[in-house]
Amino acid sequence: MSETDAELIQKFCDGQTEAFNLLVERWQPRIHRVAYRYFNSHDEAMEITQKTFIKVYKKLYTLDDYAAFPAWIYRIANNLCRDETKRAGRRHPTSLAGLNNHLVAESIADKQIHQKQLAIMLQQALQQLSPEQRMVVIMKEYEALKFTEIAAALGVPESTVKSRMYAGLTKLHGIFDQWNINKETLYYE
Amino acid sequence: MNDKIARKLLMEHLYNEISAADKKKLKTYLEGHPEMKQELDELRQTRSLLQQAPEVEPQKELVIAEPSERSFAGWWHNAKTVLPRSGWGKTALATAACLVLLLVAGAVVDLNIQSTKAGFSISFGEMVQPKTSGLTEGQANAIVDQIQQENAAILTEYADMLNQHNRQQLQQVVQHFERQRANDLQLIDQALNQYQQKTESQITQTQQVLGEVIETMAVNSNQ
Repeated sequence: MSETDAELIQKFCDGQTEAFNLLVERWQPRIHRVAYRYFNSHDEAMEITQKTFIKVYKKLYTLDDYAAFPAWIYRIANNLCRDETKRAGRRHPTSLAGLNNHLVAESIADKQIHQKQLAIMLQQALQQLSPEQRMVVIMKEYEALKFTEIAAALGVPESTVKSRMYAGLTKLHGIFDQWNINKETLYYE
Repeated sequence: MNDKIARKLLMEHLYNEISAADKKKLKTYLEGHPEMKQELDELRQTRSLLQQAPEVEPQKELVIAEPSERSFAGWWHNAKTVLPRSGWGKTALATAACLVLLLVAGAVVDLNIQSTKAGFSISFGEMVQPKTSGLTEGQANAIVDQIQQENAAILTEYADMLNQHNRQQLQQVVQHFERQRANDLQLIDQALNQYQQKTESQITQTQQVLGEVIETMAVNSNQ
């Protein structure tokens, strides 16, 4: 039976640094996934992931409640994403006009979207959201966190999380509508 | 229930986090608000589209040093956990480390520590008594006297400079106030002159009016 996060953290704090490697193995894919969906870039996702674990390594001994580790690490990653967005001035990195028009036109004309194209378009659509809405949508849709967990990770009230989620989904619906992406365009042989 | 509350419940419903009681309330609300039901359907559709996104896997693993190949930073991180954190603890540890270093160095270089009437001395190897070639008491006293005299002269000079500086500043302040006073007097004088002129003019006007009134009354009484 694999050890829990809390047990690994306890071991790390007791000086068994190899426990940290297990924590990294367990959490690296999740943090990378969040950062990738946030930035739509593997390089930036990798950078955020590395920075997150460096911070975790330095500050883990300050964590009092080990059960709060998931919220804590997501919060670190979110803060790093936010800082990077501010630093690079990429609040709205991809405007609708900046989207690959050829891809959209072709997709709409054919009424068929390949899986790869769809992945690109979904990522592009996510980039249209505000950073706050985007992070909530990512955490809910792709990390399957509960609203309370997202609220703890972002340090905001649960009602705020729900409002951002609603606003994010509504905006995405508008974008998909505008791009003519719907169920019919998805499933084909 | 209003639309705002309903939308929060919609979110809970959409992600199966709604309580049974709230679900019932929402259902009732949706029956009376078809546009809200439409929204729910659209959000469901949006969700199903989002779920079509393929999984994302890191392209490369993070490089993590094995414990046996840990960096100096990692070693230091561990070492810090056994070091005292309080100021006193750190001081005591530093003192102990210095003593150990001194003892080790002493053992290596044949350290000699002696305390005699002449004072405390530390030497490496065999101790050589220093030849005394200092000043006599009279010479030392003369030097001390000279230094005291020089200090006294410097202090006197400094005090004079300070007094002169203060005097200059005081004179400047007095001059400033005198100028200010002269300006004020001039302004008061001007104001008084204007007031006097105005008063005289008013008296003249009053006299004229009175004269006209008396004249009119005299004419009326004659009639």
